[in-house]
This record gives sequence, structure tokens and C-alpha cells, in this order.
Amino acid sequence: MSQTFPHNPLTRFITSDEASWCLQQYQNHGGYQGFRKSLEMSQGQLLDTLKESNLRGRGGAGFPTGLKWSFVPRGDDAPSPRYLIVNADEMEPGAFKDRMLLEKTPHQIIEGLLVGAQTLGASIGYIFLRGDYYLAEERLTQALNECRDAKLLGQNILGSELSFDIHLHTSAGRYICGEETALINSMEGKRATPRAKPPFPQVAGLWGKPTIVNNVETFCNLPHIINFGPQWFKELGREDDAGTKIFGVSGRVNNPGLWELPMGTPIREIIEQHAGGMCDGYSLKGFLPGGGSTDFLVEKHLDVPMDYDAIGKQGSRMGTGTIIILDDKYCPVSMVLNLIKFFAQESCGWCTPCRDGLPWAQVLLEKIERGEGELEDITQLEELCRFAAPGNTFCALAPGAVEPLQSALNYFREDFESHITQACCPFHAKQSLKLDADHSRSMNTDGGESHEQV
Amino acid sequence: MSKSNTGSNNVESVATLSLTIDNQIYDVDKGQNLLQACLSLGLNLPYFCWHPSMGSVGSCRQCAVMQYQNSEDIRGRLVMSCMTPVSEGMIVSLQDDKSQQFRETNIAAIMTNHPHDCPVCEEGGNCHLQDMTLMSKHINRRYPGKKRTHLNQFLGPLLNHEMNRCISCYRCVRFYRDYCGGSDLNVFGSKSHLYFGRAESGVLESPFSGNLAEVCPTGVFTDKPFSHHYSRKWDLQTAPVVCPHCSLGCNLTLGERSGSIRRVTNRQHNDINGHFLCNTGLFGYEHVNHSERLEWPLKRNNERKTTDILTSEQAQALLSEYCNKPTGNCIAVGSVRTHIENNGALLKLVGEAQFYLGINDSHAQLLNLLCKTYNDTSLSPMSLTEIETCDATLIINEDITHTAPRLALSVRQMSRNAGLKQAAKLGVQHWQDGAVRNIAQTTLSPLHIVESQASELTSIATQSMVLHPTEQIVLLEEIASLLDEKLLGTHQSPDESVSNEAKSIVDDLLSAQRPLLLTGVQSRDIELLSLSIQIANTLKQLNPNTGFYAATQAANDLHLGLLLNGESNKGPNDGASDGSRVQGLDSLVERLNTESVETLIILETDLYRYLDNTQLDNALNKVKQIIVIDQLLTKTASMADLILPATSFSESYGCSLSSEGRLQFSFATMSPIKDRLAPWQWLSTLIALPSYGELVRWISAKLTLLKKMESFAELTRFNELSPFRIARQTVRDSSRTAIHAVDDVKESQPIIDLMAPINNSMEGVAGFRQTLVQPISVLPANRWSPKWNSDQGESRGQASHDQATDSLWSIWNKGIKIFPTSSSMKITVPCYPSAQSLASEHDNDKIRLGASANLYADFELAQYSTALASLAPEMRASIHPETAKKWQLAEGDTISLYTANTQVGLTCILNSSQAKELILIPSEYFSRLGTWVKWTRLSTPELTSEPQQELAPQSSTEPMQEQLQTPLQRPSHEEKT
Repeated sequence: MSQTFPHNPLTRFITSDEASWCLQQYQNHGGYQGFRKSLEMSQGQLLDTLKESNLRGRGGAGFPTGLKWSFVPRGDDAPSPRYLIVNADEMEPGAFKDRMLLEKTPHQIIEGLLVGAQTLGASIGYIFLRGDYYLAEERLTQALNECRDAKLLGQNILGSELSFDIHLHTSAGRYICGEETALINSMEGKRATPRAKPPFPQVAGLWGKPTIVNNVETFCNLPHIINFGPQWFKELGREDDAGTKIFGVSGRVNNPGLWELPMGTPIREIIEQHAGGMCDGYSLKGFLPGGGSTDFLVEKHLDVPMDYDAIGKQGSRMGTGTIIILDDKYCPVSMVLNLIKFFAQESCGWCTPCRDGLPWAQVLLEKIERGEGELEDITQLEELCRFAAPGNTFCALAPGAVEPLQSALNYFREDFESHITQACCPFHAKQSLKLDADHSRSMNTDGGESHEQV
Repeated sequence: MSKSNTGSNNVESVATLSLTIDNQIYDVDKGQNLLQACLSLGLNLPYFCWHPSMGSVGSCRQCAVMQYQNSEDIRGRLVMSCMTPVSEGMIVSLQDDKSQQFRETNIAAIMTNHPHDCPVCEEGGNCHLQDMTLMSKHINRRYPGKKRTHLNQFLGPLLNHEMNRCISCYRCVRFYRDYCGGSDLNVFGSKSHLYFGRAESGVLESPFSGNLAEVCPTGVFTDKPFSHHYSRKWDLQTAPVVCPHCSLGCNLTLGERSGSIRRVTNRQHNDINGHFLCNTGLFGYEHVNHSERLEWPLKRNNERKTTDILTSEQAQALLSEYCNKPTGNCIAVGSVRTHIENNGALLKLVGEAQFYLGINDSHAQLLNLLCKTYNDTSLSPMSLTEIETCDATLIINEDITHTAPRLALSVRQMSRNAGLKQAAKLGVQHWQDGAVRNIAQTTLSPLHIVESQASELTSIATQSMVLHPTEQIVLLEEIASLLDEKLLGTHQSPDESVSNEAKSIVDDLLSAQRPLLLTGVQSRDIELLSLSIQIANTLKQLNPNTGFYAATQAANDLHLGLLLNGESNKGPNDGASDGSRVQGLDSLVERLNTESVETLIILETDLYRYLDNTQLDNALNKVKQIIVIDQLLTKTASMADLILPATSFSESYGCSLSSEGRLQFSFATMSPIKDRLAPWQWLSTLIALPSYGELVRWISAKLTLLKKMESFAELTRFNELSPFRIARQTVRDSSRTAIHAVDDVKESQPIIDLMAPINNSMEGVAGFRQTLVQPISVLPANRWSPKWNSDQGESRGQASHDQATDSLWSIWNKGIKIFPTSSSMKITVPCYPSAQSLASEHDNDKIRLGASANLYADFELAQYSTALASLAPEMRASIHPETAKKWQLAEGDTISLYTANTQVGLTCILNSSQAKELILIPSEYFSRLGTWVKWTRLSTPELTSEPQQELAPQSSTEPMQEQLQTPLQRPSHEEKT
């Protein structure tokens, strides 16, 4: 093999200019090589390669992709059609990594789907795209058309037995659609509420047929794993986890952005080297390592490698790998309130802890932020965090939603208490900042909004 | 889902396993979820979204319990009991601190938005939410925020809507959409702003919408007619009764206070109605309270043109005077809306030759055929629960959604079985409702419908054939011959003449494990019914699991098919002679016209509903004395010389026979007031059978099939048998007679009920409590057990094992199926080769009529409920647009349909989903007109300034005008919004 082994497989097709590559350019630079290679492999070989690569789902949960895919029934009597769905409904607060992949490398995603189709014998693929990603929609549509013209999609692709087509579905915009079964319900035209599991989508998903839902970044990794081999992929990681990951940092750092770095890169390296460290006058108080629904970590965790299990051991989750920085000048109560408000708003309304527990937490946080809190409220918040713990709820939304809250109560408890003892928000009082008008208003004041009678 | 209750018919055998709950070992049935198991053990475990008939979805999280891996595990894991299957040796705890704490927080979260309006809420005291809140020990409100508010909707005359009370358990939409197939109720919005309602205000369309009042665990949907005469649950006297409307015999609980019936609730019968009723059953009780109820015996004085009120002694004397003098010349008409005992007493009075059935001849003929079939062949009707287990169905020209509504609900469940099977393949249990529906998606069990117009069930039919009745016969003949070929093993040559439809129906029926044939008497077509029976019979011989059901037309009409067959059944002769023995109302009119009749006793039948009114007027005028025994002042009653007031279903005891062949006993909810008596009591001295027991013995001696009525007669001796009695009322704190304190401060003794072991007070054994006092404690006179004040406590404490099936209580609760189920496989295909005669009967200018049934319009007594009457559609004649074009008719034209002696005028509407060359008219007119009529155009809307619903023909004379009146049209009091 004359190819060089890239260290940044996902972003090597991205140029500094704003455009994305057309099919010709993409192929000239080695695009669709992975797919062509997969056509020569059997389904079993492909699945084994995937398992061997130790690729874990990049959507946040980090479930081993090969294992997940192995649950799909195979063989001649397996139910068909089988579906592949790209979860491109990136709505996690602080996450913007999929957007880059969608806008800059649409062909990489299509190639990932094609490899997936070859692996599972799937015949239909869907890209479930966040509705607000207009540019991605435009570029994906163009890329899909190019592929259809080039017979990379359709019947007997490249003369093989594989027949596969991809539909682009733009979402109406609900955070819960990121939950794979809610996403499937939404695609079926039903309410976007998660489904009871089992059965898992691999067995009975879209229209009751075997379905794989994976994140954009996960699919993007597939062609490279096939192309360069699982061993190369495993060696990319610096610690236990394999491959590279698109990490991001937002907050008061000098150089916020996204970087493709090896798995296991220490957090300190990401924040201090790549993101350029904290802005002048601000110091790091804490950070959410993987987006809005992960537990806070603090300074002492800076040397932890960004690995699913390593972060997990510290009581948080790597999630999407997009770090949100909390600096010393920003009110942690306000930050948590902002997040809880988002999650309460995005609850699908199916199960009680999420539907009624999150607004309750929001009301308490608003009360504290207004300076009307009591110490009892902190106890209640802790109770609500336990209430929405994993296993108590129907899906992972509510447990994720209370993660920043429960960890803030742990690490920044004195800030909560000072709100109560000083009967005001110390941060906003100090900076004489006016609270966002929305924060002071109870969620209940917009009472009848959900249903207007005509 | 009560699948495990079907007993011997259940495919999976009921096996038990043992598990440990709070350190106690229990044996429970396999294949259920933990919540169901706990409830059936009588444990107190709160829940909301689970429903015994609708299964689990895991939404409310209220039923969380702690599960332990093994006896060493002390940490445990919180699981939702409704989503957890029971397994051998599992260890769970309901009482541990963590799960109790979780349930407390959960109910506190549920209650954050619930208004504290219990004192003015109609659900108060009968509220699942109240029960669960207390059970979960939520006492202090800690939530500091405001409550969300919603606007309510107008949902029609049956239900109130108060969305602020909603706790978002999703039960209403799951019931309405998933279980009943309705589409106009939905959930809108998301997060904590869910809205359960319609897209806009309007009448809920589903015929089962009324169940929402019971399905809702709190007061979002409440019973609107009940709120017009509201009473708290504990002030109601209740008793178990059988529904008086359609032929299914659903079980109800009636609630009475101060002499009026206040509400109907479902009384669970595992073989029939389960947890749900139709709207007609739920709201069709107003005739009991109606202002036209007869109160005293009345005598018409023709000379003075007055009506005198008689004492009951005078009435008795007059009755015997009228009946005794001309012994041979006294004719009686039996009823389809009364208990069997009353018809029996009347039959004893006049004898078979003088006894006429209160239905049209065509109807009686069909009932005879059905009874004969059930008696002579191995076919016997299946129960509704058994129907839900079938896996392929053929419905033959019966709009069961309107003629037997609850049956249609069972067919809907039947159609899910293919999906359930798919789910079972993936190891998903049937009660995992959400998962099952996600797997099943649009998978439906084969359901073929042969019909004259598209119906509500068409949407779940795998094949719907909208055909003209004559085409239906052709199709059925094809099916019959295909099946015969299969049975006789004749070589099946691919016959080109057989239609693909017939082939696909036969394929599905043959490949099914439990095929089902559903038909009925709606079309009044003896040929169609005999063919259906023939098909079912052949199928039964090919597959002994074959099911059959024929819906009949009224609550208690099937037994009329037995009444006059008493003698012919004993004798060897049957067949054609049987057909000629039909004594329906058409024969009655014939007899009245040809013979002079001294006395005509009409029992609870409004003849004007069945016969041409002019013709009937003339016939009745020839009769010397007319005696009417009825509950209500019907048009027939107003023609009578002597009117005797009868008790309604709420005041009388008696048996009825459902179309399933199930004999059921109905209890009186209240004592008769005024001079009302049960019809058999009016006749008892005349027929010399003074007591109930003697009457029943006479009937069972005469009609061997009804012999089982004697078991019910035992009830009347119950006071001697047992010192224990059942309380009609729930336990309450106030004293027994406080309820009457507003009328009379003196405490009066409750009226002693001599007919049944039910007390007119709260004293006695509560209905559902499992006590040592067997067997009467299980008769559900009321529903209450400690901590479970709402009706939903019913699903608790019910062991799913069948108790000894022939114990007395089980007969009261379940009834008895009277037709032999295991008779020999003899093929006596009832032969009614009337095709030729029919063909000769109709000449070219005659048009075929069909009945367009409607559950709000077709049941006579239900018409007295204003809410239901307001939902009845306008009386129209519907025609296919192409046919209308051919006949040069337009929508809104008025046509007259006439036969030799009957005429009806109706406005036309066009309906493209019905068969061509066919006029569909309301059932009531259809029964008067018959199947073939001529028609003429009366007017077009352009010509008449005022398009009337019915117009008299141009040549109309005085009586003609009267004939065209709509019988007993109640003014509809539409709700104002």
C-alpha cells in the first residue's frame, strides 16, 4: 500500500477556505477509497474490522460501534429493508463539531454510510439533519446529487450487488430527537418521544425494521478504518481509546474552536495549547468536558486524558468532547439555571422526573438566583438530582440534564450558599450586570402558550 | 390485558412462579408484569399510566420498586414494576426507603401543576389520583412555583374537559387512539405543557369516547350527563345490571340516588366488556328518569275522552276482566327489551298460538335460524374475549360498530394479533404496549369485511369489499364452495370463475389458527345468514377452533327465537315447517286484519317503530281492548285502553339472553316506586304463578334451553341461605339515613330487598373485598376497598385464576352460556333456498334497500337520553353518486320509498363509499320497509322552499301525514359552549 497513514483522518479533507470539496476533488484526494475497499470485503470481515478497531460512538455515550452493529440480524432470512440513520441533529449545548463535518466534508459522511450499508446490507440511509444547519443541508443535497449522478448511490453501486440510497431529512428542531428512538419516532411522523427498550433499534427500529443510528463523526470514521486498517486506528489513540476525536472549547479562552486530536489527549493540552489558555483577567473555575449534559470538572482534573473511561472515572462523561469553560467571573448558579432551563424546555413530556422534575429544579434555581432562596432549596435540588438519576427516567435526557446541576452543587456549593446568605446574586451584584429578563420570569407565566384555541 | 383470564381457551397455559416481595414468598402467574402481579396479590402499589387492558408504557414512573439481584444484594436497583416481567425467584421490595422516597418525589412532581380543586371536582372521592397521592404519602407541598394553566374545550354532550387537572399519564390518547382507533383526540405540545384534547373544540367522534371518564385517573374528562345530576360516589346505591340496549349483554353498575339513576359505570366482565363500554351503554339510562315514564295504571275512557288513574287493585281487576272473558281471543305481543321472565309470563297467559314476537317477521325468522343453528350444530357464538384471540376474521355485512359496538372494539384488538405475534418472536410480551406497537407498526391480522358501505372498521381491514347484497351472496357462495371442496377433498381445479377476493378470504381463513366469522341480522337477509352459517359450519369442521358470532338487534331478542320453538324442538319435524311458524309483528297485523280480536296485550313494544303507521292504526282500531304494559308512554301506549306501568331495568330483577347465548341475571338498583311493577308481577295472579321461583320453573320446564334460569331463581331464596348481605353503598362516615335528612329528619329503615342479597345501605360486605365470607363477597354491588376509593381499584385484588366455575357467585358474575358447545359435528345446514323466491319477488323496477345502522339512533330506550339523541345523525337515504346520476337524483332531493303497504319519504345524500344500485336508509325505516321497494321523486330542494327531512307524498291523506312522523324524536338539547 502506497498510501501514507494520516494522523488526522477526519479533517484531512478540510481546507482553510470556506468551501467543501466536490466529488471530483474528494476522490482525487483519496475519497471513496475506503468504500471501494469495503466492496471487496464480506459483511463478516467488515464487522470484524469494525469490532477490532475499538471505535466507540461519537455521539456522547461512547458505546462500542462494532458491538452495537453486531446486534443487527444478518443472513438471508433477516428482516429487510435495514436502515442506516446518521444522527446529525446536533443540539447539545456547547457542541458544534458535527456542524463542521457536515458543512466541510459531506462526502465523507456519504462514504461512511456506504461503508455501513455494505457492512449491514442496508438498503436505505437517512441523514437526520438539524433544521438550522442550512449550509449543511445545501452541501449535503449537492453531494448526494453528485453521488447519484456518479452511480455511487442507487442500484448496483459501482457494479457491485450493493443497492443503497440516502434521503436527507431536516428536523423540525427538538433536542430530544438526538435520542435515537425519539429520532426514529420523529422520522415516522410521530411525536418525538423515546421508545421503550428493548427492543433496540438494531432489531426493531424505523418502521419496525432493523436500524442503526449513529453520530455523524462515527460514520465519518468508518471509511478510514476500512481504508487504513483497525490497527492504524487503534494506534491513533494516546491512551485506551482508539482513533481521533474532534475536540472543541468554548468559553473565555483565547482561541475557542475545534481540533482533531488523538483520543486520550489531556484536557490541559486542549485548553492551554490548542485553545490558547484563559483570557487575561479570567481564571478557570470549572468546565463541562463534553457539552451541556455532563458533570462539571475542576482544575484538579486538567491532567485527565480525554478518554471515555478516564473521564468517567472522574465522575463526568466525555460526551461530545466539546468543553465548556466556566470562569471565575461568571455565576455558576446562572450557568446551571441556563442549562436546566434549556433541558426543561426540551423535555418531550413523556416521563415524570423529566417533565415535572426539571421545571421544578428550574423554579428553585430561579428563586436562588433572584436572591430569594433558602438553604432548604439546596436540599430539594439535591433530591431532584437523585430523582432524575439514570434508571429512574425513560431516557437519558433528564439524567444528563441534572449532571451539571449535581456537580455544581458539589464543587460550587459555597456559591449557591452565598446567593442565599447574601439574598442576591454576588456575581451580578458585583458586576452590576442585569440579569437576563427571561431568567427572572417563571416558566409558568407563559401558561397557555402550548395550546391556543382558535 | 386480561389475556390470562380466558381460561381453557387460552393458548398459553397458565403457569405460576414464585417470587419474593418484601421478604414474603408469593406464587404469581407467569407472563405478566410485576405491577400486575403485585396488584393481583392485593398489594398497594401506586400507578397511573398502566391499565389492565392497555398494558404498560413506563411513562408515569409511579410504580417504581426496588429489585435485588440475590439475597446478598442490599443496594438494589430501582425498576418500574410495570415494565418488569415477573421471573422465578426474583426479589423485590415495595417498602424499602429508597423506592418509597422515589414514589413520594414522583407524585410530588406530578402534583406540581394539579389544582387543589378536589371539593368542586366531580372525581373527588372517586379519584385514582387522590388514592395514589395518599398511598405514596405525598402530604406537604414543597414546590414553590406557579401552576400552568390551560384552556378547556367543548367535547360534545358526553364529556367535560378540565385540562388543568391533567397529570399527563397519556392514558386518554392511548385508549382513544391506540385501543379504539379514534383519531380526533391527541396530545399536543411538549415538556410540562402537554395538552390532551382535540385540534379544536368539537364533539368527540369515537363511539367509545365516554370511557375516557373512567380511563382518566383524575378529573380531566368527566361524565357530563352525570354532572347534570351529580352525586358523590358514596351517596349512590349501586347494583350489578346488564345493559338494556344492544345484544352483547355488557355488564354495568348503575348508580341511583333519591329514586333517579345518576350514572352508569363499567362492571368488568372478563368474557364480555372487560374494562370498556360503548357510549350507548354508558349514557343510555335516561329513560329511567324520563318524564314520560308511566307511574300509575291508566284507563282510557273513550266516551269522555279522558284518562283515569287506577289503583293497582282496580287495574288488576280490569286486566283479568279483559283477559279472562274471551279465552281464545286474547293475543299478546312479547318484547325484546324486557326480561325473559316477562315474556314467559305472557306466553303462559295466552299460549303459543296467540303469542307474537315484538319484532318484524324477517327478524324473527333470522333469530329462529340462529337458535336452531346454535342448538343443532357445533357452532356456538364465541365470547368477546375469545374473539380478541382470533387471528383471521371475515365480517359479513354487519356494521358492528353500530349494531354491537363493544364487539367492534374486540375486533380491533383481534386485528393486533399479527403484530403481537411479531413482538413475541422478539421476546416482547403482549403487555409491553409501546414496544409491541413499535414492532408491529401497521401489521394487521387478516380482516375481510363484506359490506354495503365503508364502516369504521374499514380502516383496519386488510380487505374491504363494498358490494351490493346480491353480489355479496355470489361472493359468499364462492367462498362456501371453495370451503366445501376443501372439506370433501375434491380436486381443486383452478377455477377461473372464482374471484380473487373469495380465494384470498378462504386462504386467510384456512391458514389461521383461530378463524372467526362475524355476521348479524342487520341486513334481514335469511339467505345471507344461512350462507354465513354454512361457511362457518364448514370451517368449523376443517378447524375446530373456528369462531362464530352473529350480532342480533336488541338486548334480549335472541330468546324470542326459542320461545315459540318449544314444541317443534321436541318433535322430530323441523326445517321448513319451522320457517312458517314465525309469528312476528307483520303476521300480527295480518291476523288483526283477518280475525276479530278481543284483547291485545302489548308488552314493552312500540309497534309504531316496526310497522307502517297507517296500517297499524287501522289494525289496532279493530281490536276491542288494548292493554299495554310498558315503562314509557310510547305511541303504542297512547293507543291503549289500559296501561300498566312497568319497571325499568333499574328496578327489576330478571334474566336476559345475549347474542352470545349467555344467560345473565340483572339486579334491581332501586325499589320500584309509584305503582310500577315488573310485567310478570302484573300477570302473576292471572297465570297462577305467584312467585318468581314458580314462574322460572314453568319457563324452564317449557323451554329446556332456558332451564339454567333456575340457578338464578336460587337468588330469591338467598336470604334464607346466608346471613351475609352485600352493601349497595360504599362505606362512608355519615350515618345510614343522613342522605334523606333533607326530606325527613326521622331515620327510616332502609327498604329490605327480598329478591337479592343486596342491602339498600352501606351495611354488609363490600363488593370487592376478598373476605372469608364466601361466596357472596365477590358480587360487585359496589366497588371499594381500603385505600382504593376510585373505581380503578377494581383491577386490584383480582386473582386471575378462575374460581370454581359453577359456584353460585360465578354464575351471577359471569352468566351461563346455554347453547351446547360440544355437540356432535352433524351437518344440518339450515336450508333456506329463498334465492329463487327472492329473485321472483323483485321485479325490475324495485330497488334494493340496505340498513344504515347508528348506535345513537337505533336503540329505542337510548333515544330517551338527550345527550345520545343529540348525537344521532339525520334520517337520510344514502345513494352512490353514480347511481344517483343514473337515476337523475341530486343531493338534497327528497324521495319516497314505498311497498304495497308502507311508505317513507327521505332526503337523499350521496355517499361514494357505498355499493351502487342500493339505497341505504336508517335501520328503523329499513325494518318497516323490507329489502325491496319502489321509489319516486318527491321534490328537489330548488322546488321546495323548506326542505323537510321527511315529506308526505303528493297524494297524501290525513293518516298518511301521521304515518310520516318520526317516531319519538326527542328534542336535542345541544350544549351551549
